[in-house]
Amino acid sequence: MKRWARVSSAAVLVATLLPGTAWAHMKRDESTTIRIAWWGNQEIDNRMLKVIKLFEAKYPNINVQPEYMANKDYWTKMNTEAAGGNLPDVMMMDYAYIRNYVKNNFLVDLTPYTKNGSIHVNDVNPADLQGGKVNGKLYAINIGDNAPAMLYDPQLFKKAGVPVPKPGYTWDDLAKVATQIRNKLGKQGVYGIEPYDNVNMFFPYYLRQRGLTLYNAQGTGLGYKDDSLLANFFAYWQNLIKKGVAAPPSVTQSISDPTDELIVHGKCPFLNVWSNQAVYISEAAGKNLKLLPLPTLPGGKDGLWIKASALWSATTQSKHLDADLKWIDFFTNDLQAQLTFGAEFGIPISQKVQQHLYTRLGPLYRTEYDYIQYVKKHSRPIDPPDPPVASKIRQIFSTIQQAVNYLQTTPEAAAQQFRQQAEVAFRQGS
Amino acid sequence: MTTNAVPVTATAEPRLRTARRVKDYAIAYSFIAPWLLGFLCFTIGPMIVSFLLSFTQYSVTSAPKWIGLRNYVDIFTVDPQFWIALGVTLKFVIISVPLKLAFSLAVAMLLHGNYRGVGVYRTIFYVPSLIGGSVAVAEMWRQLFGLNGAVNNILQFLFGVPGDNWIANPNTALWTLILLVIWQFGSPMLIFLAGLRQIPKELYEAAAVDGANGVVRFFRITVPMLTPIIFFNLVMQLIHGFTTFTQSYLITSGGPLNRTLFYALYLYQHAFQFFDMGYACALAWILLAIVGTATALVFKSSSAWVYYESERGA
Amino acid sequence: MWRHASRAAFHAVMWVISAFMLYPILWTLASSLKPESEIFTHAASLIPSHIDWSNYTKGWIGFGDVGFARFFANSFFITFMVLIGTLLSSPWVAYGFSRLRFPLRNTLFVCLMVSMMLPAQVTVIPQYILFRHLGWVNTYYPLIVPAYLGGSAFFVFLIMQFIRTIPRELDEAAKIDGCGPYRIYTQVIFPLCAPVLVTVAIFAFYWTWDDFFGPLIYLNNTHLYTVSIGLSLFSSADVGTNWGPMFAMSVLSLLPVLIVFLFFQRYIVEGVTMGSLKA
Repeated sequence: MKRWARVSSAAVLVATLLPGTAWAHMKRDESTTIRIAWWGNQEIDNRMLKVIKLFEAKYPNINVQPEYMANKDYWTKMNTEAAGGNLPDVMMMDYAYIRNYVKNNFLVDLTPYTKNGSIHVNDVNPADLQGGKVNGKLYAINIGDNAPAMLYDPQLFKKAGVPVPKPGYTWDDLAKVATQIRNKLGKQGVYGIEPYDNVNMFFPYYLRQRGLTLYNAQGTGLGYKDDSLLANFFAYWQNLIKKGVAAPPSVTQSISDPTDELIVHGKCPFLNVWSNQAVYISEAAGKNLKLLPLPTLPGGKDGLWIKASALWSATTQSKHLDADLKWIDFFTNDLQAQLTFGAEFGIPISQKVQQHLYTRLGPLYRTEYDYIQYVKKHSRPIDPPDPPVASKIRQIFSTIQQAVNYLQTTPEAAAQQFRQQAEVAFRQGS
Repeated sequence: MTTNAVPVTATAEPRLRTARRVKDYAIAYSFIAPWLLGFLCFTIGPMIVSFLLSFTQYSVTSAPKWIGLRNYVDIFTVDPQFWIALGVTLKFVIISVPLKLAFSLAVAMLLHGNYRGVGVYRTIFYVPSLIGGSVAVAEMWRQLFGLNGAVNNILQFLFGVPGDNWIANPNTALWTLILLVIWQFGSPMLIFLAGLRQIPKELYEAAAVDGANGVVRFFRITVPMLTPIIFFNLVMQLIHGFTTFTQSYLITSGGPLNRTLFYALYLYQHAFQFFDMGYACALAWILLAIVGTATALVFKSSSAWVYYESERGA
Repeated sequence: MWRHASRAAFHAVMWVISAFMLYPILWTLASSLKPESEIFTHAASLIPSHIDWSNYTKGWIGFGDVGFARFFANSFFITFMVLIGTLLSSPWVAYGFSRLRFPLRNTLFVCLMVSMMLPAQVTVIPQYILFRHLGWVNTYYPLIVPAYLGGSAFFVFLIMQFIRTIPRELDEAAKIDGCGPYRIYTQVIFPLCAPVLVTVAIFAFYWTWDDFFGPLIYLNNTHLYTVSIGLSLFSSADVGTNWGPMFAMSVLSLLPVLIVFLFFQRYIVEGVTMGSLKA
C-alpha cells in the first residue's frame, strides 16, 4: 500500500499547488472584475490590453480579465462557454453569429442604454449602428466600419501601361482590364485577376445590385428565385479562368493567408478584401496598395454595404452589466483609447473619434477612411443578419465554387446543385 | 487463474475459497480503481450524453430538441458529404496505416543497435513527430508542396520537370497529407524500439548456436516476439487514422473539392461551425461503430497471429 | 573491407532519410530568422538575407503583461504534473488489466478501448459542463487530474501489451517467494517495464506540451495560458498573422521536447537499471 501513499501525497501536492497558481491573478479586493473576450493577433491584443489599462485607470474599481484568442478558435470556445453558462461579461461579436446568440437570449438588448446615455452614441451616425441590430433591437455596438473592396497595385498597372479603373467601372470593364494586364504581363507570370466567386462578399454583392438578397427575410430559405443569376455569376469567373486571365485554383487554392496572396508577390493587380485588411496587406507587400469599390452594374442598384468588422456585446450571463456598459461606452468614445487602438478593426463609428484620428494616424488610415466615406455615399444598408444555418450554406457554396473553378462542373449545374443542397440544409436547420 | 502458485487443495473449505477469491478481486480492483474512477466520473457521463444528443437537434447554444432517428436517417439518405468523408477517411486509413507501420518498423530495426551515431539518427527521425500539428507546421507544409516549394525545386533539379501545386491539385492533395502523417512516424517507431529491447537476448544466442542466419532469426524470433507490439501499433494507428483531424483542418480545410474532407473534420464542422451538435454526435457514433468493428476484427484475428510470451500454452 | 562498405552504406541511407526529416524543421528555423517581409517572398530559400533576431524578441515579449516566459512556466508545470500522474497510475492500472482476473474484466477492457474511439469533439461540451459544476473551469484540474486516474487509455493499453510479453514464470517465482500482487508489481513488473515507461514518459511529456484543445477550452485567464495557446495567438485569418514571431516561438517550443527526447531516448534501447532482477 506504499504506492497509495505516494499517489495520494502527489494528489495533495497538486491540490495545494493548483489553486495558488490558478486564482492568484483573479482575486483582488472588493472591486468588480469583468471578463472581456476578443479575437485578434499580437498587434491587436497588445493594443487592446493598453486600452484596458486606460479603462482601469479611469475606473479604478473595475478590473478587467482579458480573454483573447485567434479568431479560428474564438467561436469554438465561446460556443462551449455559452453551453456551459460561462460566457464572458463582454464579448466581441460578429454579424454572422449575432442572430444565433440573440435567438438563444445570450445578449443584452442595449437599446435602452443608448437612450439613457449609458452608452453615448450622440456622435454616431445611426447608420453605423445598423450592423448591431436584430429585429430592430440593438444587441451589439459596432467597433469599426468595414466595406467590401478591391485592393489594387498601382505599380503593376503602370508597368502594364493599363489605366486604373475609376470608381463606377463596370463588370465588363473589370474583365477587360484584367485581360489587358494578363496579355501584357502574362509572360512574367502575372495574372489579371483571381476568381472571386465567393459567398461572403461578391455573390451577395452581385445579388444586391439586382435588389435581391442571399437569404429571405425570415432566414428560412434563399432570397433569390432564379438560378440563372448564380449560373451567370459563376460563368463570369469561370470564363476568365478558361481564358487564362484569372489565376486557376491550382495557384490560388492553397493560399491560406492574405500576406501570401498573389498581389503581395506582384503576380496579380487585384485582391478582393474587406477595407480594414488594406493596411496590413500593404505593409506585408511593402508597397502602397490602394482601394477601389467593386464593379457596378449599369442600371442596377448600389451593391456595397457597410459592415461592422466586429462588435461589442454584453452577455446576459454577466452580473456586472453596469461595468460592461462602461467598457463599451469607453471603447466607443474615448479619444485616447481609440488612438491607442489605432483603428485596427476599421473606421471607428464616433465622428469625434474619426476626426481625432484623421490627422494622427498614418496615410494608410486616411486612405481607408476616405474609402469608407465613398462607400457611405454609394451603398445601401446591410442585409439582415445571417440565419444560424448560414455557416453550413457557406460551406456548401464554397465546395461548389471549387468545382466551378476547377472546371469540373458547368455554371448551370452548379447553380442548381447549390439550391438543392441549400434547401436540404434549411430543412434540417428548422 | 490458470496456473495458481499456491494450489488450492480439494480439502479446503469452500467458504475459505470464497473469501480468498473476494480478497483477490478486491486486490485486482484496487489496481484498476484509478482508471475506473476516472472513467465513471469524467468519461462515461459525457459519452452517454453525446449518444443521447445524437437523437436531438442541438445547436450548442440552445436547448436540445428530441427528433428521434432523424439525424441518422438524414446522414444515410440526404447527405452526400457523409459518403465523401467516409470514402476519403477509408482511403487515408488503408494507405497510410500500413505504410506508416512498415516504415516505422523498418527504421526501428535499423536503429535498434547501439553503435555510434545511432542515437543522433533516432533523435533526428523523431523530430518531425515532435513538431506536432500547429498552425506553423501547417504553413510549412503548404509552402513545401506549393508551386515554388522545395518539392518542386528538387523535382526540377533531379528530373527537370516542372512541378505542380501538390496541395491544390485535387488528385494529389490527400497524398501530401498521407506523406505528412508517415513523415511523423516517430511514435510507432519508438514503441517498436521499446518492444525490440524487450526481446530476451538469450533467444537470439540460442538461435545463433543452432546456426540460424539473420533472416531466419528475424522471422522466427523478432517478428513473433514483436507481434503484441505490432498488434498494439496496428490498433492504435487504426483508431488514430479514422479520427485524424488536425492535418486537414489546418492545411487544406477539407479541400480541394472535398478530396481531403476527413470524417473528423466533417464532424467538427457540424459540431462547432454549423451549430449542429446533434448531427455531429450522430456522426460520431456512426464512426464509433465503424472503428469499433474494425478494431474488434483486429482483436478477433489476433489469436491467429499475436504471440504472448506470458500466455504460452495457457 | 565488406564491413566498412556496409557501414558506409548504412550511414549514407541514414543521412538521406535525415535530410528529409530535417528539411521542414530547417525551413521553420530559417523562416524564424528572416525579416517578416521575406517569409513568403523568399519562401523557398533556407538562408535569410540577414539574420534577424527581432522575431524572437518580439515573440518572447508576448501580449501585454504575459509573455512566453509565463507560457513556458505554465506548460512545464502542467506537463510535469501530468507526467508524474501518468507514470504513477498508467502502469498500475495496466498491471491490473493484464495480470489479474476479476469480474467484468472484459467489459471494462472494452470500455477502455471504446473511450479512445469516440471523437473528443462530441464529448467536450458535456465534459465542460461537468467540470464547470465542479468549479474546475479556469484551473489546471481538468488538464491534470485525469492523468492521475489511469492517464490516457492509450498508455494503459500500451503498457498492458508490454506486460503480456513478460514471461509469467517471473510472477510465479515471486509468488513462491511469498509475494502478493502489490510486491510482484513493484518488484517484478514495474522494473521490467522500464523501456516502455520511458516511451510513455516521452509521449506524455510531448502530448501534454502540445495539447491545444484542452487548454483552449478550460483556461480563461491569460496568465494561465500554455505555450500551445500562446503560439495560436499570433495567427489570424482576417487581421493578419504574425508569422515571424510565430515561427520563432514554434522553434523555441520545440526545444524542451527535443531535449527531453535526446536525454531519454537511449534508455529505450539500453534499458534503465531499476533494481536488478535475477530471473
